[in-house]
Amino acid sequence: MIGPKQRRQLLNIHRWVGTFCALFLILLSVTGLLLNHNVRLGLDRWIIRSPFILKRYGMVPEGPIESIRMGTQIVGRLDGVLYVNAVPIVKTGALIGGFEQEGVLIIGHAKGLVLLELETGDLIDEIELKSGELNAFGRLDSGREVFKAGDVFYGIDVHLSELEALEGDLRWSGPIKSGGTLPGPIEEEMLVHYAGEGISVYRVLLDVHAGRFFGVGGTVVMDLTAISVLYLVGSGLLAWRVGGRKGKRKDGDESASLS
Amino acid sequence: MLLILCVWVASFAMSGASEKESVYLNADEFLADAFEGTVPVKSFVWLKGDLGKSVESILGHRYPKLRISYWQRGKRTAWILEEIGKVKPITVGFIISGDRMETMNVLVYRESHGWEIRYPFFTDQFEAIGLETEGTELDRSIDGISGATLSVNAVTTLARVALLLAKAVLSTGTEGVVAP
Repeated sequence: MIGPKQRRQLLNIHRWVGTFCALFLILLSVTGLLLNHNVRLGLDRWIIRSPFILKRYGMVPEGPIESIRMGTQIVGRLDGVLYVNAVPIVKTGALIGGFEQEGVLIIGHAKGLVLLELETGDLIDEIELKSGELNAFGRLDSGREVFKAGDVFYGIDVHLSELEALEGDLRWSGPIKSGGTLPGPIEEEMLVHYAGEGISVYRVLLDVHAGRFFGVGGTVVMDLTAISVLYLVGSGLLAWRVGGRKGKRKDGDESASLS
Repeated sequence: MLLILCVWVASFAMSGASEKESVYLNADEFLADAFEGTVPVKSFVWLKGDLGKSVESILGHRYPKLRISYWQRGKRTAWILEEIGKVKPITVGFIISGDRMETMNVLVYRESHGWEIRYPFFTDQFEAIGLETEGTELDRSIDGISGATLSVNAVTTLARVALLLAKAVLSTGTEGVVAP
């Protein structure tokens, strides 16, 4: 059993732990109350589109959208995914360029080639470069279209299943620029696919409540708050029990002396 | 209180242990094993026409590529196919001799549950399995694994696709590209 000195120490720690917890308990209580009445308040229908909030959830692309326009197909790349007419197709490296051959769209990216059907944009196949990175798309003096990785030229043929290095006296004529801006609606559609419509107030409140919104640090603080509350309950009950017994004993002593 | 602290610390230590991609066998090793070190040139088969429709009916959706690569020596073919188990694709390698499965290997597993499908107690069931004479069902049933139903289904479905593709390739009688 604890004596008066330990009780004082216990209450001292109780006071400091209580002070530390106060702010987080207010946060937990307010968010908890709101979450409890989520349906009535319609919190899951309120959508947040603030870039700050979306960034916290990794819903804002880090780099710009790359794009190539090839006939009727609009090829874009967002966050490592290749899109054709805003439909996600496959993961690729950075876009280098592309051209059409026998009804097939051949897209060159840093890690290899992607073959797409010209009419539908459907994925035919992927061909990976075994080593290095493709860095340019251009023509040789002979007029042949090639991709280049370092000083090595790779011929392009829809019938190939592997990228094959070209050999012999090859002269690089120059790169073919294949830029092009994405039409607004296509860009919008890609961003919606990437980030969804936004994030609901309910989800944000839930993450603030759990501390996840503030990252690992937030979770740790909320966990510490929860553990501290358990400590507060335990230390409060113990101090009250000891104090109560002492009070009773004091009352008993007084009544005995009175009688 | 001490117990609570221990559980709390353990929860951090255990976080991030799941959702990891596990590469059990890379494609080059699988092919080198399949063809005893000398891997034949890659060929491909187009999923168009009736073959495309049959594959789609087995999978319940279109295969993500229109052209599938394979490796062939004589009547032996090797296939590397992918199918989604629950949310992520499972990469599986099949070696087929004629119209019978020789081996099935899980090459890459990306889900957090169901990785038991890579063990021989499951993969051995595919040895010498084939398709029914009529249709695209396996001619033997495959025992499932509780807790890995979706992965088992994905792999079993891929086995049917691999056997169907091998049959299509061998029926052309030539090694190499199967035109659309």
